[in-house]
Amino acid sequence: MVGFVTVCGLVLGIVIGILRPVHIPAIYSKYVGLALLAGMDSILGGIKGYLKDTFDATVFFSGFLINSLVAALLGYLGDQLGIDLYLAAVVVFGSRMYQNIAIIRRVLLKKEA
Amino acid sequence: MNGNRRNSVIFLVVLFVTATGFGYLLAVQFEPTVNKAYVVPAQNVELVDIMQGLEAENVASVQRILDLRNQVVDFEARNAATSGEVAALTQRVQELRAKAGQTDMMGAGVVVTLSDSLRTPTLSDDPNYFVIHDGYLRSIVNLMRRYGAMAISINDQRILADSPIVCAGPIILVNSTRMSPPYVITALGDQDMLGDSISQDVFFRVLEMYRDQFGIVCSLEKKASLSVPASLKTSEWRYAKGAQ
Repeated sequence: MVGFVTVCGLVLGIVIGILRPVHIPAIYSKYVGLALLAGMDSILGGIKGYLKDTFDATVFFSGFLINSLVAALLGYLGDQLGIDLYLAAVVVFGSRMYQNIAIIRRVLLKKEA
Repeated sequence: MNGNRRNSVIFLVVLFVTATGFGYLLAVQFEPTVNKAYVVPAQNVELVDIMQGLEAENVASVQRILDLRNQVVDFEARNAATSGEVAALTQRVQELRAKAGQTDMMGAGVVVTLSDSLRTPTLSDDPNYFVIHDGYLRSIVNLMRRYGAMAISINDQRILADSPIVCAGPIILVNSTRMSPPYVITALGDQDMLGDSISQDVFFRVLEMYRDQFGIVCSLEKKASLSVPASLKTSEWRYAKGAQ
């Protein structure tokens, strides 16, 4: 049920996005990208937690929303201050995504074996 | 997750909304990344607006010139009916107008098409060989003149003796009109004379070499029916006057 709802929501969102795209100005496009990156990191974290039976919905949602917002805001703040703070977000979330993928892979391999 | 039923429903709703929002952002963000080539830096938006406004004004002005010219021709035709002398003068004016490049022209001729290479230059390539430069257009126009073209145009711009063809960064200005590839250069005249002479000219051979080596588009076609638009320039003398 949870998976079904998630996939439905995702597909609906993508379809709306394709049919009724809002044109994001190029300068904000970067921050939306950051928010998406943080979101993807949270999703992978959620999958990891689910597989390891440590999934907590509250932690997941707060992480998902707040990480996305903070990543975008920090990126914006960094640009205003003349520091490439968005690089920090890219590195942190990027490396965490790789770690989570590695953990997911290992858990799945163990289950298969 | 193991709470009561109400919590579970709320959870699913929140999950659904979040997933939808995420998918929406994903789809929306994907689009400008794909079309990155067309994304304009924010500080240029204002300038682009101004330029688009001016271009719209230009288009309106062109239409006005054409309308006024049609009106003049109408008046002339009406007056020509009044006497034989006026009719003869009107005839003469129309001939002179055609010679001055102020009328649309039709007839046989050749079309030379030039366009930038579709290949991306590698690091070791000189990118200059992959694009069409203003000088190419000037040279082709000069070749056409040399081999007897009666009327020449590049895309929709008539080329007269004083038509400027200049480079302005990634685009070429012809008669101060922005142009981007492909450049279609039309010349009315003796098809065979023009076609054969141009295709055997050294400069055209060089362009063909660039075509084979760097992938630029360069072609020459003889055509029986072509049209060249009228020049939009006024025939007013600005800096020179006829000496008495």
